[in-house]
Amino acid sequence: MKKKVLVLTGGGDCPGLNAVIRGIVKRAAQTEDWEVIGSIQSFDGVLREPTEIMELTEKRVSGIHFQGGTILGTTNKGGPLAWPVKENDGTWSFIDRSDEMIRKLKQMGVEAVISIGGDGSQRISQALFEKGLNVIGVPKTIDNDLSATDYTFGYQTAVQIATEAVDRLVTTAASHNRVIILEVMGRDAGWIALSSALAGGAEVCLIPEIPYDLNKVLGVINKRFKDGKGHVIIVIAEGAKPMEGDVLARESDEVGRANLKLGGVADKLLKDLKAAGCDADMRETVLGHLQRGGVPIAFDRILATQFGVKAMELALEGEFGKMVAYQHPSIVAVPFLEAISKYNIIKPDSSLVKTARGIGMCLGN
Amino acid sequence: MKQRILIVNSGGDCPGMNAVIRAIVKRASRELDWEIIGSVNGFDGFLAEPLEIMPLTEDIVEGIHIHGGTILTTNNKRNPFCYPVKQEDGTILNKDVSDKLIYNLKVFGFDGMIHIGGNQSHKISLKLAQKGVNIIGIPKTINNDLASTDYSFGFQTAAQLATEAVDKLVTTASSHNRVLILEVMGRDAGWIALHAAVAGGADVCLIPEIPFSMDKVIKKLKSRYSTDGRGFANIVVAEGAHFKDEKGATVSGNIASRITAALKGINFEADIRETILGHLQRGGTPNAFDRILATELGVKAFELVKEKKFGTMAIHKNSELAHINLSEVIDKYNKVDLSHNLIHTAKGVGISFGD
Repeated sequence: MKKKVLVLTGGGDCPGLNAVIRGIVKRAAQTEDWEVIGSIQSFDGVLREPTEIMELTEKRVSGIHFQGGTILGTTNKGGPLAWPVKENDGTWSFIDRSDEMIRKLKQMGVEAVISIGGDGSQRISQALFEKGLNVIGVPKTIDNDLSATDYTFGYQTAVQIATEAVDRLVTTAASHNRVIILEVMGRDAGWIALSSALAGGAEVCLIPEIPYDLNKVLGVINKRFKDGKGHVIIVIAEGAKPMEGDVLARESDEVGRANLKLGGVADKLLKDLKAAGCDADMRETVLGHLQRGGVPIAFDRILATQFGVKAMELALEGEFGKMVAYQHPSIVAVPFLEAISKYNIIKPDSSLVKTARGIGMCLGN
Repeated sequence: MKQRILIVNSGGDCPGMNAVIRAIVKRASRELDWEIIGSVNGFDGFLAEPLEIMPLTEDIVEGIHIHGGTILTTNNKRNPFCYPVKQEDGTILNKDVSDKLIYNLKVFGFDGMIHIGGNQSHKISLKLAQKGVNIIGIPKTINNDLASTDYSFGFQTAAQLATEAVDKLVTTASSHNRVLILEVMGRDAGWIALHAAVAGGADVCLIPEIPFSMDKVIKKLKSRYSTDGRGFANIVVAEGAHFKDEKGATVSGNIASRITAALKGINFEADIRETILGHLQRGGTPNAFDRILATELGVKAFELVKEKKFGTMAIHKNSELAHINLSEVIDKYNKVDLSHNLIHTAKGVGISFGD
């Protein structure tokens, strides 16, 4: 009987997930004694009765690398450590089903698990690894906020999409003499915002790492209109906050979802600017989930394929408890504990910030 | 009087050149006492009488970063050290006119010069620096073949375009049971081919760094077809790739059609078609990655001028901007190292290099 490696995708979807899956399967197909199966919707497929498992053959993964999303489905709620159970009174409680799941995986003949996910998934992987499960991690985030890896797949595609949005908004803003505010994703990191602002040529970019002064933003708008360049593009990260004030976030009402929901910063900025006396025409665009879908660009497909092949090779070598990472120009493996200990946020002295200031972009301070 | 910087771009065009020009101008306009002037059509403009130059203001460079090409236009055949000069009898003689260039810089009050170009351009920059010109270089190549910088702008846009070509060819190949061959640029480096093959999912990738055996290629192609002739295969070949028994001449040309001929020569049964991507790889809107990199390098180059760090080139190394002496960048090529992880990955997903 062939040895089995189980693949699953967890957390929000991200362009390049399918390219990772294909990389794993194609690498496994070159061995004599390994086969790949996938768990539907993260670990849920294993935990459900009956189990929901997909056989991943070379034929099944042919051509999937240029599709967005994940053929395995995903979820950013629950998980084996906190499985939601509905009580008789209608409330929810959470139970730890990890031991049961590890037993089940053993019965299924799974020798290795490759978990593709964000920091939440990597934390689950570390807990399962400590319980003896042979887990390998593949980082996934469009936000580029993991410090163990130079880049994560999905990020460049998100930046490209946000940049094309800026390109379009510039022509509308210029034609109508408007201020247009574009809200992009990124959680607590401003990478997507600052990169798309730079690439697209926005006048103002507000990121979580630099709390902004509303008066500075207003100053830029007034100066641009006074100078006769009657339009302004502002790119704002969903996690940006004013100097006086906090991040706009709300608890999710979805069962088992740990992360706060961000968003609404563009709307708040528009209202605050109006209240502060800005009389220009203003419009807002919230890019939302357009940033997570669609065809991954070449950069992300290549990185994702490299991650997939490397993850399968770690399984072949029996190197568990590690996450694959890109450290230019190599693909390396770092222990989970190291990988999840540090976030990658924009440093104020980084070349990206210096470049933005160098071409006269206002970062709100 | 304001301090003046001359921008010269030379060599083939490359997506991101305008973003560099815009960044230099926008960075300079943050200061009160600098002005930027561009030489039209490479060195030609600055050697012409009268000068053909373009004052570059913020208004002129507004929005140009999303356009391919260069607003200054470029020329890959001009070298001030070997410059065609028309003689009185009408014949053309190549002469060293570098002194005229230096004279013009002095007479027209230029304090420095930024030269955007590839390897040949950096050789010119170094020679000018050695003659006392205050010069800063900016690397430019779609081929990713400069060893001194981790990334060069234009490459990701070219790799993306080539990848999209593979995407399209895969669907045609699979619908018609064909072998489709895509020839891409790269000169003596296989980076564009390798990236497009991995990202697009080709079956065979042929690059200059790995001379290929036709027998091995045929073996891989045959494995893609069943006995009843059904199947398909995609080959990405770099323009500089060559057969194992061939001398490694620089870009021998027609490599796609020579592979077709070799396949026809052994009566390979499937239909074979070839596509040569050509100059589609150099034009059009630079992608976000290249625009950002180009903007970073433009800002850095201006700051190197301001700090008087002449005789250097702005580069991107270890995720940060840096500079390097021009004498250290000449003829240092970045070819695909056979131990590079991307080769490993490509083999890992079953791509054949014909070796």
